[in-house]
Amino acid sequence: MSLKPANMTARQLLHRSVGNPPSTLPDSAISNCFPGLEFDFRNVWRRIFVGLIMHEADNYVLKAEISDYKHLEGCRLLRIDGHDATTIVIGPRQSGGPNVELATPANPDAAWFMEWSNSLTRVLHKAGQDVECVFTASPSEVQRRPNYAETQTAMLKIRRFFEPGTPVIARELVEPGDLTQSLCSPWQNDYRECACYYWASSRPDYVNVAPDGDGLSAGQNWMQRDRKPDTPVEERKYLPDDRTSDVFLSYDDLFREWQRVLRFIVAGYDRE
Amino acid sequence: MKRTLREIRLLPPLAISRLGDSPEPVNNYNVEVDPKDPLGFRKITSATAILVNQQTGEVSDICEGLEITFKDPQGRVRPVAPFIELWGRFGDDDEWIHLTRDDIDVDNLHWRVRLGNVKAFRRTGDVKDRIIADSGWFTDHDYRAMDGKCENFLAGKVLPFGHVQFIKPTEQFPHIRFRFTPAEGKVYGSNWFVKKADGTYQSANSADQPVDGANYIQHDLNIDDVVYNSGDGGGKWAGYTESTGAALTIPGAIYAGQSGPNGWVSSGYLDDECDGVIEVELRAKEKLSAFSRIGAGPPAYAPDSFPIRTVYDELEQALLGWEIAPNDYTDQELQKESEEIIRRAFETIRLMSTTTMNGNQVGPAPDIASTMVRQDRADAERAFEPIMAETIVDNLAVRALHQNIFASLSSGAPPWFLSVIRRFDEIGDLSTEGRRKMPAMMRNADGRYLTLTRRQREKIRHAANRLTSTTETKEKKR
Repeated sequence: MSLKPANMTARQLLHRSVGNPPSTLPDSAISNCFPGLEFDFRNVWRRIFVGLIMHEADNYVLKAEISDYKHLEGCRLLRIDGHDATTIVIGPRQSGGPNVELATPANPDAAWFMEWSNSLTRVLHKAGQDVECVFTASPSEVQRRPNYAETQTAMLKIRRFFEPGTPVIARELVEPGDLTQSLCSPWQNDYRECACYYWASSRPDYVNVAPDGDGLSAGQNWMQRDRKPDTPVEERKYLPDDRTSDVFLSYDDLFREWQRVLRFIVAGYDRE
Repeated sequence: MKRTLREIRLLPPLAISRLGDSPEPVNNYNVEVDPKDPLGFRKITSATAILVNQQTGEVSDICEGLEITFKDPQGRVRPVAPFIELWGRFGDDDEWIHLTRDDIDVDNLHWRVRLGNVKAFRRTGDVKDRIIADSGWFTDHDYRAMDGKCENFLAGKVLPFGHVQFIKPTEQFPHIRFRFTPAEGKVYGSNWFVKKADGTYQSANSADQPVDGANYIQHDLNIDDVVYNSGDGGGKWAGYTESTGAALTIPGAIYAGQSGPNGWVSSGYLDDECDGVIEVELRAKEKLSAFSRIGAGPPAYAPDSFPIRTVYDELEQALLGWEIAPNDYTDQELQKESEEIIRRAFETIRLMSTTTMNGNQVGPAPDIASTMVRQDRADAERAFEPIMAETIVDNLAVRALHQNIFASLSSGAPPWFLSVIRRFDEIGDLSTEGRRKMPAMMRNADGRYLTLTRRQREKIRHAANRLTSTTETKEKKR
């Protein structure tokens, strides 16, 4: 098998310099960013269309950088090169009920935006070319379904994602500070505020876990202040997070001494 | 005579540093999967480490077998301080090599680092809130402070983003390296005293801080320094207020603050996270240049576990596309890649309270955590009910499920397997069956149910097809 140049370049993405731990590599950083830990990687898409600044997490035009696109500010991007950017939400209103479109006062079209990364992968190979983009005809605070009736069309040029021939994110796509700009300020606040357990391999949730006498798991909450890994299994209890309870680390604890109070977890257990 | 360099490159192209207040960075380590226990905890073992003398800028030793600890004896977090290597290609040769001082005239290497923290700017829109550190071009080997400057800072104040150093190649250690050491993870502020949402000062709490009058106000003990000017001629980050709006961050109001009559009021806090670029120019007869990117984030608190969907997966898909070409992988590579995705899913749920995330009722209250169940109700007014049957989601049971999946993938995936992995365009399916697809119970970058990248899903599809007759037609792939 012979590797194509692009495949060889891709391997450089995981180049591990001598002396660098695995946690320096991009495969140690989450990308289900809402907003993220190391980066809010969604920011890489803000400048993907030449002349526009898109919302990092939505199909909303934040700003037109050239006057020709001024009329698109505040509009929503509904289709990109023939592909839908939004989808319809369905499900039951009542438990056991039929699946229906889930329109709400805040979302009258029952429409949700589909993430940039998986949507735009279909057009990134057209960097430098114009693609047809369909927007709402006027600014829209609410989300719209892909077949929304009142639209306007613009031909937009796709920026290149990487510097030519390299695995480096293109200079014009991301400026210093962009990749972290929509993270929490300060990040310590998010460790308390968000209670985001969706990143458990980086920000653990359920630790010191072992089978109890009934064959179920018994463990502790990572944010629990006074836990001990050698607590007898029958006494280990996962306590649901409560920002107001002294049982858990507080905002002030994290602002002042996160280094001391947050513990590393190795093999599922408190390391120190 | 030195060979002619055709191209130079800084590797890795995107490096992640991790904040910490210890003067000693984490020693290098490996994480190893035990082939006899492929879903066991990865073993952390010592790896080749580089020790640098910050004063001289020289490597003092490259050694093996150092102890791996993530905090120092004083309880301080050891930062992760990555090395960036200069690689090159000569003449018509396609081979990249790590350059040494024997390959080029090191004195002709010029470096520049620019780092930014523009979190306040993203909210306020005031360009004077951008915090930028710019080293300017340099050739020396000093341990150089990267001080973030901002037009809305108080006179003489900076926000330290860490240090950079061009490691001096020596006869003993001739390779060309650069190092970024991130900041300590401090919180900076706009006022030494605590303000309430209405702008008045918080009285000192007499219970905690006995005082003899009511005129004392609370010191803000959360901040290391006041750097931001929130007074006359300054900025509006302290007191900035968010309510709702399409232009706000998603999620919104994610900054330290308190509730006010018009929304969430910022306390004016700043941190020392950042991201930016390291540039190098070889200013010889022909100028060659390259740059790489760097970021500084919190520690990886479970260093033997990895996320399901990562920044690498996004970059790989952007570079190679979502479809897998015939020569992209050998069968063995495809199998390994697919198993790694399942392993990472396993590592994530292993540290997750799956009963809570499933929306099970724990205690008297039915809605006890920030779960997809809560979000489905809040965003779409869907019926509030657990995702899976409540009796099958204990952490050990979910682990067993993943162990079965892993075993299936190793020996030939069953026909139903691919159909239970959520496609990216199925995020609107909140039916009972739709919510149970994998990855389950987790949130994605769009705030909806987590999906793999399309390329990750394709890896699994190809690996399964290699072993079974399972197919998903081109027409069904959108």
